[in-house]
Amino acid sequence: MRYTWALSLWALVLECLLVSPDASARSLAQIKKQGTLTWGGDLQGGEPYVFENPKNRKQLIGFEVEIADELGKRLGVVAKFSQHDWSTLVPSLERGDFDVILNGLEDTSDRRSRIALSAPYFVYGLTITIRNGDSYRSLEALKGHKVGTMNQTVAHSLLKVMPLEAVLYEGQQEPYADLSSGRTDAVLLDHIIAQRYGCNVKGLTCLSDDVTRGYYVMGVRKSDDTLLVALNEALKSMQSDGSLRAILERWRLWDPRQSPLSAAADASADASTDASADASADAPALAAPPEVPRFDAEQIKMFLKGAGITLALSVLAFAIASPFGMALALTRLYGGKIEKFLAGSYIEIFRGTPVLLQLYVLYYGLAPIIKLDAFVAAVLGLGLNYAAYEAEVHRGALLSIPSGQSEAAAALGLSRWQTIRHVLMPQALRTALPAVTNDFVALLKDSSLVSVITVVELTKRMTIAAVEVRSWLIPGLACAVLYFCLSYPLAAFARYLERRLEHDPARSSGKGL
Amino acid sequence: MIQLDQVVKAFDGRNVLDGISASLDEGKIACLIGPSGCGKTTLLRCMNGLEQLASGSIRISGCDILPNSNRATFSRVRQRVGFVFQEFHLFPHMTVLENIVLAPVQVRRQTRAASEKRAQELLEMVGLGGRGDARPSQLSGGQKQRVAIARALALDVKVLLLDEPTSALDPSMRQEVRNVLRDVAKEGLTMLCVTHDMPLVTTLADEIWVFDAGNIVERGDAKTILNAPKSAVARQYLQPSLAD
Ligand SMILES: Nc1ncnc2c1ncn2[C@@H]1O[C@H](COP(=O)(O)OP(=O)(O)OP(=O)(O)O)[C@@H](O)[C@H]1O
Ligand SMILES: [Mg+2]
Repeated sequence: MRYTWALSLWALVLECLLVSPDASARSLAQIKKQGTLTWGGDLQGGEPYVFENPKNRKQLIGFEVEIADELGKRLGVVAKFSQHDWSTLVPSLERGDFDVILNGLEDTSDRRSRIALSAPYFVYGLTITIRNGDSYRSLEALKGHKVGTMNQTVAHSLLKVMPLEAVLYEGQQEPYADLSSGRTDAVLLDHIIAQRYGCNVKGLTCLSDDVTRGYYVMGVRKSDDTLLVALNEALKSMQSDGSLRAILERWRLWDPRQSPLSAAADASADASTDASADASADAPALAAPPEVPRFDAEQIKMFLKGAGITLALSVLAFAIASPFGMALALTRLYGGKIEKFLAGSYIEIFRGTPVLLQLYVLYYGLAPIIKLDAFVAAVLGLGLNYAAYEAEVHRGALLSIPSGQSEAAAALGLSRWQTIRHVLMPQALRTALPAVTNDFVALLKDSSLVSVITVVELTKRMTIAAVEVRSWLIPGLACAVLYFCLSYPLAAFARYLERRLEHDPARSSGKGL
Repeated sequence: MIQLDQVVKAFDGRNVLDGISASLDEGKIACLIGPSGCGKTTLLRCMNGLEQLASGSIRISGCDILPNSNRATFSRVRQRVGFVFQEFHLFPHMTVLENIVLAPVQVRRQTRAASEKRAQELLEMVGLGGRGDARPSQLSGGQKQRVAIARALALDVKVLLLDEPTSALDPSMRQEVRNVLRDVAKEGLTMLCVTHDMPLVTTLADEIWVFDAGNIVERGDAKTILNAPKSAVARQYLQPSLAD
């Protein structure tokens, strides 16, 4: 529903990869025994759902945090947050990374067929935003016009079947920016998003009538039926004693839309997508525009931490890629028939498929067999992928060594391995060094891909901050500066090596040695 | 010490060595001469396993090389037979001393100290006593070839095979290599040296083997052949040198 990083294609691939959705279901008894209920969500664009407290970055706040804490209390356990890209929440749940999704998950029939959904804890309305002075008052009136929305949302599935042009965005703010500048004629999104990013923008107006309403619900694995029952009971008690309302009011989210959730409301209200149209049309002005956090020293500290993770990730991944690549190159050149074939296949497969796919397979696909920690999976994924590239660099370097070198070693009685170890490998490494350094710089930048498997590194940190402060400029610049500080010294080192090797008399006289 | 029996080697279905038989006694030095492409290098490479025989056999320094010989055999041969390449093939990433001690340390498992002591002696012998720490790239061609000779001798081989050891050198550097080889010859090694360098032939050769088209066309005592070459090939190669 909110900012989605990965393309939906990958979500699709992912679904094909999942072997068994119930691989690591945790029963309610187990949750109670361990004393923690782990809930999954995405901090990015997380306000007011779940986000870092701008005044204290270590603390998570948001109405969903409070709901989770309250639910935990009622189950007698502690609620613990687990960070995941929003678009990967369902597969991560199935993988067993956490117990429950509690993060703006809409109740749709698609989801219902895949995971078990709880009773609702929030009612959202799809809000139309237009430019001041335009006269559209309904979706019907927008026929033939351009309407912005976000990818993978209920609003999108609604627009898809209308005779109008839906324009898709990955972020929450961009649709409203394009509406302001006239690229689109309207935006259709959740009222929470509209109120934060659209209604308060100068020159834009939000229509008071919701196009439709729906519920935010919790998601659990289908096999966790006892957990679902317990969650529903806890939610019901929160509803009847007014604590759910209190939380939503504290976040200024309580409005007439939420009346089905009030203590008085019929508790048997079932969770169908079409909420009753009874909510009054005079809803809008309920929430004052929330304060936009600033890009401050705390943010910079988080950026530095992200940069540290990016660096650690790249160094460790390369520590795998380089030696493994050399081993692959040696095997491909000097191994037996079968070994040659295997090394060649490895290289071609890992070079010929996207690293994003490899990360997904490693993290989600293999989860039923071996459940890797996200950082470990990231290091392994990048390392194994780059090994294929390093293998080709080293192979090229080995091939560039004149055949006289290995003949001279053989004539001295050195075995095949001794020849490789003492004569070929040291020379190949020298030749390959500039290219290897360049690849390391490339890896440093490619490492941003691992945010799809929930590692929060520099780029992900930047996108979180950008949505938070409603601007890409400063976070983007900070991010770019940090990447540059990491990669420039390396790039300069690579150039220095290249120059040195060019002028090395040992190289230029070539074959005569 | 060296015994060739009906040695045949073919490339692409063409016999490059066409049934060669010859022998060389211990401590003797034979120089091989013959036109380009007649198979001299190939014969030398067959004698230490850089090429596999098609048929026939080679007995060298107590080892038998046959068409089906394996790595173990070649490994034994190579520890007893040194090889000097036309293009030196020193290891550019190692110092001169490291080039020489590599085989004793890795292949013979000798201690580094003992290997370096012997390497130093060999460097003195080839007149490069002070250059152990130099890189090959810092040496002249003649110096490189002298290091290559020291390297080939480091395993205390009994037989030395040399493939045109002076032909990649400027004429001005050839004499230093000839002198070194003359000193090596005094150590009593058995040597087989392919060369067109007539001064080298006259300094070294006990015997001359004249090659043509994959076969030995004339073979015998060096003085005899130098004075009265019988074959056309020998005359072509030896006569001009007598003139100067
Ligand atoms: N690896 C190979 N594959 C195919 N043909 C080869 C190979 N090595 C040598 N030959 C051929 O074998 C023949 C003999 O080559 P060889 O190098 O032994 O000649 P040579 O007598 O040493 O000549 P030169 O005086 O030019 O060094 C040549 O015709 C050459 O083309
Ligand atoms: Mg030759």
